[in-house]
Amino acid sequence: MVKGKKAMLLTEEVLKIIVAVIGLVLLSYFLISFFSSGAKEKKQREAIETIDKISQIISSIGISGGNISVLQPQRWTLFSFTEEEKKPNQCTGQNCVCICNKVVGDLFDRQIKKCAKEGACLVIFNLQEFEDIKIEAYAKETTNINIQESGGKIQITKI
Amino acid sequence: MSKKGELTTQQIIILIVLLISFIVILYFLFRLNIGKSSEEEICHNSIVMKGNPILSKGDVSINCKRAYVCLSKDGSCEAMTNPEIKKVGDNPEETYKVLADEMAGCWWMFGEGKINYVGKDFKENFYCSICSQLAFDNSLSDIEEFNESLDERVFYKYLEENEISEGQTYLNYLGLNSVEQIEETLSQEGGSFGTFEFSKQYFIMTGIYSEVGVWKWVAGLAAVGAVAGGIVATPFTGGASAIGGVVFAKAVLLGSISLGAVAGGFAGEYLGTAVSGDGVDNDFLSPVILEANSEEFAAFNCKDIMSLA
Repeated sequence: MVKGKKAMLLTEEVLKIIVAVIGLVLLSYFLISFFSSGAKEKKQREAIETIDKISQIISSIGISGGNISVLQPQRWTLFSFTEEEKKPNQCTGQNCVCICNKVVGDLFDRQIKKCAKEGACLVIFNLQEFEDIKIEAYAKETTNINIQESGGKIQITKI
Repeated sequence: MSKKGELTTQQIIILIVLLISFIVILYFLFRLNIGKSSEEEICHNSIVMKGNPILSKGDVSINCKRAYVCLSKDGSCEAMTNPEIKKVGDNPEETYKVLADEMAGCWWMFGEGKINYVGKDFKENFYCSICSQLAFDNSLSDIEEFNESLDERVFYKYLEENEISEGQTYLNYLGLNSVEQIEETLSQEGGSFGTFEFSKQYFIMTGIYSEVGVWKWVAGLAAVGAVAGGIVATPFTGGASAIGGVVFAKAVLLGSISLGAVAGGFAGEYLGTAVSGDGVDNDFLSPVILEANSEEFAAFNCKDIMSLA
């Protein structure tokens, strides 16, 4: 009898822990979403500004091209999407450059989905594929790029 | 004996059941895709607020997002990432209806030509808004009437012959009169309707001209020579319904664009129709389907793309 009661108590405790864990998970999810949405929007605005600068350089590109210093937002990455089958929606199926947060473990097109959802992209028909350029935190180093046209292709390189 | 205020096993189980039910209900709510209609409402409301002279004195911003829509026969879509998939059947009218509803939704969101949402602007500017980005899944090619593409004229005939609400066709709702009239105006410049190719993506775009009007905008484009593909603009006046407007076609050869009369051998595809505002001084571009990031799109020389990607 006493043993049964003890067991019942144990079940109760386990159930309470489960409820508490579910509650905590939900609460933390809502809190994180609430506080990170503002930061994400700020980073997206910064990414759009950088994309605008790239667009301006490309529209008036000459022999020497142009540089962009102190790329923003910090810790995001500059990607090129050229020959792949899938591209972020903003690219409309064409070659493009995007700035977005890099995902860990790019499975099931997670990177493309991330760029489509939160990133900023610019269609460049004659873009030459380049290695991902990580925009480092300002405390570490400033990230600068050079944009130039060579052989009819737009090249973007880190300087 | 349990302590006062302590949860009993029964209560805890009820809590868990409630939590699980909440998650299940949330899942079905998301499946219903209520988000889309609320985003359209948010956009429409922001346009109405912006157009209200009293409210717009405050910091009112336009809050419209581009929808990514993929038309598919088999429910899959390789051309886009996480699009809103619109499944269509073998009947081509189902495909036309999806496109027609997207165009009508776009016109409604941006005030049906009755709201000046750009304020006072006396320069020759055109503000465009991309409501949706469309992709056609390759499964649409299985539909017998389509051959890797969709005929624009047939689609416009659908708009003319089908009603959006009782007594009003899609074409009338969009501020246009008749397909024949558009064709006639186009043919004056050697232009015609084109096709929507399934391998390409398209924008459903609408727009508003600053208060100086569409003709000054056309003349302004010609003056700065800013048009990449070139636009031919030809006026037409309505018949029975008295809808007047300006029909745009793509100019194949670049040349001077004058008011109504065009010099040079132009011939091109239909780019859209500008219609007069209803109760406002602005002219509007009736929603049109344009190839995404194409020369035709660039030819509009959009001042500001007033919808977020």
